[in-house]
Amino acid sequence: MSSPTPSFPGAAALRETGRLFALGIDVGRATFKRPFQVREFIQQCWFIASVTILPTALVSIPFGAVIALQLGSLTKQIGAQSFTGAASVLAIIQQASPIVTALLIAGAGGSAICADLGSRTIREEIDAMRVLGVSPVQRLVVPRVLAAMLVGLLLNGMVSVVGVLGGYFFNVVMQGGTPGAYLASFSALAQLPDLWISEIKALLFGFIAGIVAAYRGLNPAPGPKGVGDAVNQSVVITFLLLFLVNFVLTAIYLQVVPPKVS
Amino acid sequence: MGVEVVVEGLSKSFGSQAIWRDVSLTLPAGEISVLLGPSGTGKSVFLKSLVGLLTPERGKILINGVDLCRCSESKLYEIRKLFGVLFQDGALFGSMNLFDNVAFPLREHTRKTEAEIRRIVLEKMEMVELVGAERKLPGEISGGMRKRAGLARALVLDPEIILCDEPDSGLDPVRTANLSQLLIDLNAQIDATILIVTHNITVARTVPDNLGMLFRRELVMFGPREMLLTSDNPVVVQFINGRRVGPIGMSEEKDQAAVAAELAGHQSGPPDEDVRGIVPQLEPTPGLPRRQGALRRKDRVMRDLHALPAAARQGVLDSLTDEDRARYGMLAGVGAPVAPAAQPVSAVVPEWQPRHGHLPAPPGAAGPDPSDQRPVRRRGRWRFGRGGGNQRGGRSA
Repeated sequence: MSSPTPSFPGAAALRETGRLFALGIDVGRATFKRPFQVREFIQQCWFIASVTILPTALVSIPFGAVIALQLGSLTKQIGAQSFTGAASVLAIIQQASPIVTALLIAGAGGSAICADLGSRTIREEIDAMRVLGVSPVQRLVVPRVLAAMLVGLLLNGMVSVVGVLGGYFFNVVMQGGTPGAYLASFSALAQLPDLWISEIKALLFGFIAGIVAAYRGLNPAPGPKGVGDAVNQSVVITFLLLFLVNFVLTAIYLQVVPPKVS
Repeated sequence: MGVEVVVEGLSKSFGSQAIWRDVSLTLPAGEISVLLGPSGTGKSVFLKSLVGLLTPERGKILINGVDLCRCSESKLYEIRKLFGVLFQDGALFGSMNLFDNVAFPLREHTRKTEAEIRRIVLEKMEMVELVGAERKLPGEISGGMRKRAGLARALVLDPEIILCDEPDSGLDPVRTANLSQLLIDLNAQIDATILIVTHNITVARTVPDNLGMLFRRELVMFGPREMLLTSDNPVVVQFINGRRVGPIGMSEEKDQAAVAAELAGHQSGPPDEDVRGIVPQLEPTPGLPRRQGALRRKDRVMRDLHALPAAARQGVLDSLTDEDRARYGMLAGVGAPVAPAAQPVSAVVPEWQPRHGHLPAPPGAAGPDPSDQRPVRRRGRWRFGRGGGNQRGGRSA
């Protein structure tokens, strides 16, 4: 059906991008189509959560600590120690937490989704499903993408808590900060919209990780090597997109939401 | 009753590599068709195009008046419910056991209770002789079993069109014969349109109503089985006899050097026999209804008889039963719609035998027709069946 395909440098990349977006839109539409695959959704949620919870917690402690240490030494130099807590909470909730969540969702959950769908594709299972009149997007991709989003959202909350606790521990215990000042300054700079943007980011990153993994999984190069390559690419592409989207969202947020202390 | 599938001017290429061009054929409703072709001629691609998994660049595939290449995604999913497809390796879902695999279409598309699903699934499992293996995972069973389970899954929704991608690959001759019989029986029971893609000559000779062949990026021919089985087309002759000499080479097409070497007489290998000619078609297992598709086909072929090559025409006439002759108004001596072949036909008619059964002529009749045991052109082997139509036609032409 495709008319003579134009070829110019970068055409292939544009085509891939377009198809990735098309899959994203398809998933959005199929989400609201009955019947919703509840069983598959719950299984995938459990699967993604089980492979990501522990690594995420383990990553978020040192992450919170690094931010706390860095900010602690910085604020000491400019004599603004009373704001250490505020700054580290902001940094963790707004930036670190959604990114850490998304990296692990993409690295642990996304790669598994991509490998699973990829091996199904080369075994013609996906074709067989289409022929049986069942849309693989609705049956397989939608539950996985929604699961990645939900788990991303929940993990984000956990990472925020663990990160802030880690930051508190390192600031108070290692750097001799005052616990009271650290806690009291929480609300000095941070506000509720910071939490919202954090959760929105986590949701969006989960979506991107799910879509990219599904896209690469449904379109691998032929053969087992193709699946391996597809998994590899899906992780790399997700990371690239994550940081790009994070930049855009942060820029918009900083423009739209007025800072608390002006 | 099955659904007619009309393919018009279909072309498919991957990048700059054309797979096949301008393929036009009609799979008549309720009949069994076989598509032959050397490996790598795009038979599987053709099958995938028929179910809309691949989109050809040009042409139409019409099913119930809907063009599969142009219709919307949702329409496509609707039409696919008419299909049952047997993939080359069965394409079972690896994470489900055989029972769940076969039950999958029922659970997705029907509101049947679990008890009903169980009954239907077990019935289909019994049909393909897989009872007892329901709880096994696809990874735990042999290729032949996977294939049969794939067939059971394809049949579970009582499809109107059944497509089989090399049902014989990986099966031993006995299982292949069983599978062929199973397809014939199925056709008799549910009157589905069946397309089998294969390179198994036995299947091609005994199963289909219609035969086609793909080669060199195009459809060499497609028509009633008699047409291809008696054809003089060098590609068809080589393929059916499985010879090394001919237009088909290792890499699909031969280069000039290889052809020259052949012409210089370089030949080796086992002596060659010509197995062309029409052999009796498989009949449904006794007790099953007659195949409506076969009856319809007979009407159609008789109507278009004049368009067939002489050899095929003779083959068709030879295969008629007395009952058919009466029906088509061709009693002995009257069978003259075929001018050049009229003489031999009327000579054969009085001693005509039903084709299935392989009985010698009853005592008292004029004895077996000597043409039955006439040596064939190539090397002295006996042609079996009453395939002599070919030569008769050839002589009269």
